[in-house]
Amino acid sequence: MYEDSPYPTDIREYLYKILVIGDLGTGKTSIIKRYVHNIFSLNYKSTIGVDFALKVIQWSPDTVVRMQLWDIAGQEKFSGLTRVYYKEAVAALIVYDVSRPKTLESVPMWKTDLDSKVTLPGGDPIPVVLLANKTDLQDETSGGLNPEEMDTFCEENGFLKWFGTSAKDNSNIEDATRFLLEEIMNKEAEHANQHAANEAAMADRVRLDQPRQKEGCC
Amino acid sequence: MADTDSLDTTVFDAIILGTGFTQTIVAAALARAGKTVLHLDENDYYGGESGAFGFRDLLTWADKVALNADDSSSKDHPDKIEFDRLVAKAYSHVEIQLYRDNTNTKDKVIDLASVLDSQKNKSTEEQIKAMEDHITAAYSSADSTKEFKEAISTLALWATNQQSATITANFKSVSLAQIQSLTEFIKNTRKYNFDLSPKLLYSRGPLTNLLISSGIGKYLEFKLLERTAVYEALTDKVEMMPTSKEDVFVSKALSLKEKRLLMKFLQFAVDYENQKEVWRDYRDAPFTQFVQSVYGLTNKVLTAVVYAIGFDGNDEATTTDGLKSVKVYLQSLGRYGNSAYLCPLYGVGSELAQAFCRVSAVYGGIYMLQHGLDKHNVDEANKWRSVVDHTGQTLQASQLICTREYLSNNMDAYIEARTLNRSYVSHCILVTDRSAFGDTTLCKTLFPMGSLVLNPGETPVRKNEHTISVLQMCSGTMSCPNDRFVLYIWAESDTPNDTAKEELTAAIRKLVHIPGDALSLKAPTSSNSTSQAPTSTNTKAAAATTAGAPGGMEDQPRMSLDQELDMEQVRQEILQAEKKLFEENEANSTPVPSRPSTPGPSSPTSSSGSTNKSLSKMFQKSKSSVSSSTSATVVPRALFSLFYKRTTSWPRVPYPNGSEKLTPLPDNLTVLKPMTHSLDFEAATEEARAVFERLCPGAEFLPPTPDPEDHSSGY
Repeated sequence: MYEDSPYPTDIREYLYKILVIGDLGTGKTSIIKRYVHNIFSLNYKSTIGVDFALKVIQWSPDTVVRMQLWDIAGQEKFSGLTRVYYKEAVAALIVYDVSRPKTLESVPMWKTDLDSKVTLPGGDPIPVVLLANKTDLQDETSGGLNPEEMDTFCEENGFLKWFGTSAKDNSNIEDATRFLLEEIMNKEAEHANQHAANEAAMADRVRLDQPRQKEGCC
Repeated sequence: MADTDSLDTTVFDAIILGTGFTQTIVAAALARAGKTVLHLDENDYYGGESGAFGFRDLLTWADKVALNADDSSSKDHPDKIEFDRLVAKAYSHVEIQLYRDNTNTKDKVIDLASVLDSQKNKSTEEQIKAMEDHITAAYSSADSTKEFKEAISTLALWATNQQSATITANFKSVSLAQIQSLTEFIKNTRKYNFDLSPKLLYSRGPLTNLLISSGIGKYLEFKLLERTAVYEALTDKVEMMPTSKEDVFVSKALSLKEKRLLMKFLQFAVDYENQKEVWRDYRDAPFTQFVQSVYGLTNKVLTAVVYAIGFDGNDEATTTDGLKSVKVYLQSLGRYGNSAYLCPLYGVGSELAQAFCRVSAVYGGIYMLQHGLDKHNVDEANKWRSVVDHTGQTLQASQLICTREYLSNNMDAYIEARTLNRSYVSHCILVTDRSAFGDTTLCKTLFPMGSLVLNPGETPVRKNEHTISVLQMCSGTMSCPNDRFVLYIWAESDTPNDTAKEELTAAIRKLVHIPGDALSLKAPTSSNSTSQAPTSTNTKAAAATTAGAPGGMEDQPRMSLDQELDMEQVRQEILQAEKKLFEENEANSTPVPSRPSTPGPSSPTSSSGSTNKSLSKMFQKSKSSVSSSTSATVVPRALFSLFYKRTTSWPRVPYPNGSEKLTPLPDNLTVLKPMTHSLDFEAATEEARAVFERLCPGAEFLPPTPDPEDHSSGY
């Protein structure tokens, strides 16, 4: 038997699907654009024809992370999202707009929908960070809540942490994503065993773009 | 989440109502072609009549469709959309069963009929309350979880409801074990994905090819169907059928002569279009007749060809139909493994529908589920103009595409008047405690038309007029928890009068022990149904090949050496046929995207190596797979079932039947057909394509979606 590592050295490559969820106009796409391409525009059109944005990060000398950031295709915004959107996601960012407190009210709904449709292989909820976006437009507090209240809100609703972000000023987005990635990597290590068991269970699954080869080589 | 006020526009190229399978393909194709699409569904789930549910949601759904559809008000409101009423009208004979193991003497049974009697003159609410109190008092010490309480409330509801029309749950009494069983279902509610209208995909059929060429397949994962079994009335056995060349080699069910006949036929079927002279005269004759007269196939081979290989749900298949589906079947073998069928995970139609919806959304389609609709506006020139939603908002488009339940009352009446032939599908969703097919977990079984007696012991004898299909799914398809199996049983039906239960029970009896049904298979010896693993693997059974049949596990002698030698010749013949088949496939095959664009469960092995190669590997492997053991089958026990019947009636005639006064449907309104009983989605896929081509002449139907990973700056 051969090891089937494609590289002679020990470079690990991880592929993570991360969801970006939140009400209409909270800045999901701006956050993704800022993070992936470092651009910001006040009047962009909704994105057509792209499932996700990809950011490749050299996490450490021997680890490369490919992050897929899945926007809710802007248009699924009015209702329950499809399972194909949720499936295999390992983490999520839920976004609200601090200048519109109403968008914070929907946050628990998004969280509940998310938790009911996707979990980690072991059954735990996936790690989620709350982004209080558009801090550049903020008058006083984060959409009506002070930092202590925000902490309580996170605790009550099962968020790991919250960050005040601004896609316009490029503030805190990098930190928030970095924090989430660290969480994912930790979970990965914790669940290594379950991961293996899970892969065994999925071994005979078929994907259409991968015609199955019978084992054995010629 | 739902915030209609924020719709940027209320004018679209197309409005699509309902997220059933066919609508979602049209939605994806239109959005992909640059049309603006608004896609609404009154339900809070995707998939419509192909929806998939957890346990709790399945009960909610059953409650909803079991409602009596009252026609009376519809005439007063001709332009109204009465979605719930039309959905409920489409379903009948809804029946829930929660089975009780009568042999378990320790189980504590309490009477419920007397409670109901004593509450006769009370309101329904009071009756339910009294029932709930009665059950709680009897079992309160057993369990204090909220799921146990929910189970009691559910049972109280069923027991109280039993005299009212459609849900006849037969709960005159209840036992502790029954409530515990229901509690378990409720606890595991999300581990179930019950499919309302299960089907399979041919791995090289038009739908799979479309999923690949469009890139939409990247959202989906599948399992291969493992086996196909056919019930043989003569021997009263459910027999595993040889359904691939590999099987034909090793099958002990077939004699050598039969194998040759079968191979000869298969060789022809691969190339039947070029040999018209062979079948031209039988074109419109029954497929069975052709196979029998021209190829002289014996009964056993005939069953294999006509049912296990060639059956796609159509009992009236002509030779033309039959040959077409045999060919798709043969082409499908070997693409992803030793099976022609793919089964999506998490519920078949629902998952496909969601994949198409995602594409539509990615290309700008706007989605709103759980969106109530009020009425349609049609102008004087009989053009459909707009639909008004529950908030009073008018939504306009140049085209409307929907299924029948989304029509207004007078539009529905028009369809009704044109419908002469009635057709239905009887369904059963059955949960068991173990596989009905031994080690085989994902398995299809057919009970050919006329093979079962529906009313044993009665005269005149009534046989099943249509083939009954059974699909067993497992935890591997994400259909249920590890220690459970889900059997989907369904059949076409010509009458609204017979219940789904009456039409399907004869088939279930042959596969499963139904507690309280003496005609079903015998129960496992232990009354404790949960933890008994099938351990009685005797050595003889272990030596048997995979062709062993459930129910009657009869060992047949292993193949003699002579036969194995002769098999070599057969093998050569097959290889030739294979070559022919795949040469053709190479020519028509669509390019397969080489890179997965969602995180895969495991790194793929190299994707080089032609199908031919993998096929020859398959042959090499065939010997080793002969020795795989079939452990003795322990009869599974039925735990829960839901029966229902759905109408698939659809006009075949182009004119109203004596109702010329009715206004025809507007020509910019497309009504899609109901999902039929067929085993695959090919007809629905074709319908979607035809609708798209009519609406967007000349435009490409679902061209490939670009891979986001190729867009470094595309976002």
